[in-house]
Amino acid sequence: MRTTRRQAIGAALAATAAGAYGAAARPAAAAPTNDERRKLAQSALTAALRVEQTCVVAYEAIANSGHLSVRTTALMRSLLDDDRQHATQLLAALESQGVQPPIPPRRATIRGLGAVHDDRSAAVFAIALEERAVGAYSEAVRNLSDANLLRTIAGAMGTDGQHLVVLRQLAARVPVPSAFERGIRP
Amino acid sequence: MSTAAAEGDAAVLNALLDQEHSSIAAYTLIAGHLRGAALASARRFVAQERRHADVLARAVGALGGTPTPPRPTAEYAQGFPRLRSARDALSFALDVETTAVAAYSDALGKIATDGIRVTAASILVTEAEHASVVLGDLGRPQVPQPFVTGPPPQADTP
Repeated sequence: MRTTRRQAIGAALAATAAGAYGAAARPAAAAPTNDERRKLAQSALTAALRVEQTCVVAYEAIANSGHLSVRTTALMRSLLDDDRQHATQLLAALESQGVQPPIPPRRATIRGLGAVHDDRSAAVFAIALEERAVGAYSEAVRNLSDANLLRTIAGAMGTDGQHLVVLRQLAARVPVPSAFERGIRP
Repeated sequence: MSTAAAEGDAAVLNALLDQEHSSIAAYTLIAGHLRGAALASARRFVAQERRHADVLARAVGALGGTPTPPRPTAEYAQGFPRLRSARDALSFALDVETTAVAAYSDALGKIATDGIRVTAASILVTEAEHASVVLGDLGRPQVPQPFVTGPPPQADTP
């Protein structure tokens, strides 16, 4: 199969960035059609919404648990407010495209939530969620072309990165460990 | 990919590259006014800005363009504020980072190459993270708004 110049450039850049992490670069695949791209973007937006919905449900449970300090409880409520606004925007974007949005998860189905018992475990749990959110948004950015939606996604991604900073500081981790914050693919 | 699209991406990336060169020059000045943890952060951030510049320059080359070289530091410094204290330096660092976030946000909708758009987004997030650390050093809220790029456009706004 012939590789287009665009695919070659994308693969070269991915290799450069992947090299920074020591990960293997993936070979270039065939370019998706416009319809495939639309479906990939919708799938990525749905995945991002699912993570943001999980954040909302989990942070509310953690903030109401009584296990955290006053300061960390306030932090969780602040993150909750931001992520609720992200979820609202994603929901509107999906509904405008005629996509059925996912149903928010129940607390009992959120993996790791039951293990949160203090400030540090709350931070570690939330770091994993926020990294998944950034990863989901990265996939959406790859397949989106709408400039307004890209700007909204970038805004939510950046704020989730800032969530990561305060959570990493709470967990006594390096706040900005990488020059390229890609998160984790959900 | 068409030649026009490649040239368009190279132009957008070259503008971002010049932005990164300016950030590197700015942090060199900023670091001279900081101590302790804030200085350590500034050093880490300037190293990350160099990584951004390196990746952008490689991408411009891969697109068939010529990466914009850094201008003399004095040329960038002409546009910098006069720094009298650590607080001035941190405020300037915040300006540098918020300017970078805005530049990457504007660029995302103009980049045609998928992989480059993802890398640009990953840099935007890192710049937002830098801003959050600086905000903390300034004693200000570290996550000041739900969207770092400002409020999303409203569908019913004329």
